Amino acid sequence: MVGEMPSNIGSNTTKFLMVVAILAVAISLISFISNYASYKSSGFVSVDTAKANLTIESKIDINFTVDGVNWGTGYVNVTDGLTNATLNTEGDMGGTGWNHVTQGLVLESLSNQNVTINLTSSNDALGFIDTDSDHGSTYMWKITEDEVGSCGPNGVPGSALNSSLLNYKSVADATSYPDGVVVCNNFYWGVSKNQLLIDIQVNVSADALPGARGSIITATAASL
Amino acid sequence: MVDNQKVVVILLLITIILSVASVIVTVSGTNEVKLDVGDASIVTTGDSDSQSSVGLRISQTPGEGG
Repeated sequence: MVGEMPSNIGSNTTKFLMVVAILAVAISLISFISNYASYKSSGFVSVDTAKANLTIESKIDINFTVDGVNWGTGYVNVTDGLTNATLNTEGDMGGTGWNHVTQGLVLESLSNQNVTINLTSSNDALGFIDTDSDHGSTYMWKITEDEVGSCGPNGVPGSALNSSLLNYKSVADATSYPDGVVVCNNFYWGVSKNQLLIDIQVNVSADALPGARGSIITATAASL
Repeated sequence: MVDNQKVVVILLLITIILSVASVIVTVSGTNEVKLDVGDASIVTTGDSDSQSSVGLRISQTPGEGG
């Protein structure tokens, strides 16, 4: 019959198409399995949430930027009728030979939070100046802001300072007062507002024995 | 002959289905990761000390014995 495809040709074409189809299925199946395996290994959940935690460590760090007062060597000139001599870090020097000291101790906070400051001294006037017996010498300190606002948490300069130490007051020794004295209960840490000034004043009795004298002042900072 | 053609058609359909599934898996397999910053905690390191010194020397008053 004209126009009719021979049955063997149609059969061959069908077989060929079937082989092609089988190959296509095989390739698709391999592709699918490969993609699925890759999908699972890279995370089956399409949206994942991770957390990055960080810790801000609070630093408390104080430092005496001026850590020494030294009047050098001198004496109370009794031949001038003096019975004592007052020396302080504001330039007063009532004796003979000692240095005029015009700079007190400066304590700076390098913390990242406001802190409370305690001061202790290794000795009092008897231990520092008189040593052998009480001759009436005195040893005092005075605490003020070296930078305005360093001890004023509410914008009131000096409002957190110990008011009893705004003028010279006798230093207590650490043995009697191991916790020292709170000089500022809110010491600021910001730049240009983080310095306290500790002025020292001693009154040396003419009866004090000759020799070297020393006292250690320790500042301790604690979080509020 | 007819049966063979049906098989071919079915195989082609399977091929299409697998291809579509493969595309879906590939597209949906792209992970989205969100980064969330947790709450920060503050740890206090403790107290800090600093020391200073005050000193002088008392010399003998001139003219006094000793």
